[in-house]
Amino acid sequence: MMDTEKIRNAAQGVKISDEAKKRITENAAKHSPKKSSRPLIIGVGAAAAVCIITVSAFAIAGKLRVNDQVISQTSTESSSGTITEGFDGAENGYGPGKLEFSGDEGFETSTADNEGASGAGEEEQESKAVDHDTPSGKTDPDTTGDWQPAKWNNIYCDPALYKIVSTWSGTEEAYPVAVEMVGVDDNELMGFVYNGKTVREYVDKTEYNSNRADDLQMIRQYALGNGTPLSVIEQIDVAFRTQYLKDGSADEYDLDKVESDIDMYFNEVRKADSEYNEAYRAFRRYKLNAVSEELKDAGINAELSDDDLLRFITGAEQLSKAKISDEKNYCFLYDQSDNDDITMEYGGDEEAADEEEKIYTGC
Amino acid sequence: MTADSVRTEKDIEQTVETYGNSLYRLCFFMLKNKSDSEDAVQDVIIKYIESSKQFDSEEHKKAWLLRVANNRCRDMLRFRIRHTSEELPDLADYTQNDEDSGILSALMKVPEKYRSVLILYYVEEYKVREIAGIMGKGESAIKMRLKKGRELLSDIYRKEYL
Repeated sequence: MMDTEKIRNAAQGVKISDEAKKRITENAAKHSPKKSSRPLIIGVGAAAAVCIITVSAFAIAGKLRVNDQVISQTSTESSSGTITEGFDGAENGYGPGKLEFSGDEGFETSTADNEGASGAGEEEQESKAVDHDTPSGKTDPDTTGDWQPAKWNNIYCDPALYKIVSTWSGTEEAYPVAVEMVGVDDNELMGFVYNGKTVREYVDKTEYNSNRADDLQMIRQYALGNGTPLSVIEQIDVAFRTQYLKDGSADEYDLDKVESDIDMYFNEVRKADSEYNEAYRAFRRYKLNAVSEELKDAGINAELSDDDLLRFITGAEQLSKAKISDEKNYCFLYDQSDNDDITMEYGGDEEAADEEEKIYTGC
Repeated sequence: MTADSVRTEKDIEQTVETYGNSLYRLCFFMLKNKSDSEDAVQDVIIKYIESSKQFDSEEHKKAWLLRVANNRCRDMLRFRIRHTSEELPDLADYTQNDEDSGILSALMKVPEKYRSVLILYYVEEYKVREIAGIMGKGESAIKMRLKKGRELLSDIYRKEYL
């Protein structure tokens, strides 16, 4: 393997010129700042602001796009500069459906076991070792990026709500609160059945089509002589790539076929992504309904809204009784959420932002 | 935190000064072209100006900017699939010796999906989890890309530059 320092040193020589910086600053400054039509969520803003980072540790667990195999997403890799050698992502045995969701028929928990879900090996163990209840009462920052929900009694709160509830005690005041799902048990998600298929199947379908599209793009670049070396092409599955060779040729690709199939695979990715998003949303709502039931035990009647948040108004006394299982996967927010502005996170890719927003809604 | 906060010129200037290199580096390794990379950085800064996003920390801000840059580059690459031919850029401006030049050239030949992860990990020194956040992928997908990307980089470098 190539030395990390060498890569770093070589790449750090790539710098933007002072002239370009000046030009960019001047051109950008000409852009009159535009006020957001939707003001940022108060309190929740902090959560939304870092949602893309924080949630990645949990909630996007289902969106695996691993090239060869799919593995558990619950690891807490944190070392810098080296990658665990021998890491091979050997996970392919999720169970056939621990949970059942049957669309209009409501929610039901299956008794099917999930033995196949243990293949994450060391990574899984590592994840379990994370202590979310640090002495400070806050979540281990290493598991959440730079945004730290604080633990209050048995729940995790965003900073705005924490500030309120920590001074709430003894008052009669009540505030609007929302609960969002910020984490996910990867095994549970992958085993979740939606419209007759597990989430794992939806993920695999997306991954397969995405990889094929990527492979074809590499073949295209290679065929055009645009810098993709043969050694990269050789990594592509032989049976797949040879079907694009011109008749009788050992190394000449049929570019028309390659290009039309790139489009085809991208379309398939879009379809598969859409199906996955539906399945993932169903999972979120299934889990939030379960939380809603647990909140009832604390005398809290929460409603599941269209944007996948549980909403209610509560006082400190009542909220302090809330006990939910796998509490680290849920964040209680001070609810001002008419104004969430998360699409701004996603930059230039509006279509992707729309898709992603479905996943991250409310965060 | 307010929604209608406006970025001051000083803030914009500082942002370009502080993060310009990181943004440019990511864009350059993805787009392989100086002027496109500068355009992409400019788009990111405009996005920053237009956004009312408030940041908890400088690291948070950097991660957001990189994410927007990554998205912008992906958009540009998607457009390019149909519209241009890609050529390796002249790396002489950025390198001191043949070895660095070889490494960068090899890096440029690693497929894009691995290349951006390698840059964020090795050059920007982000953790796997943070890269997952920036790129909107799962942690294991990032680990897999790192592993494969490193192998490809080594392989290309060994075969073509040693």
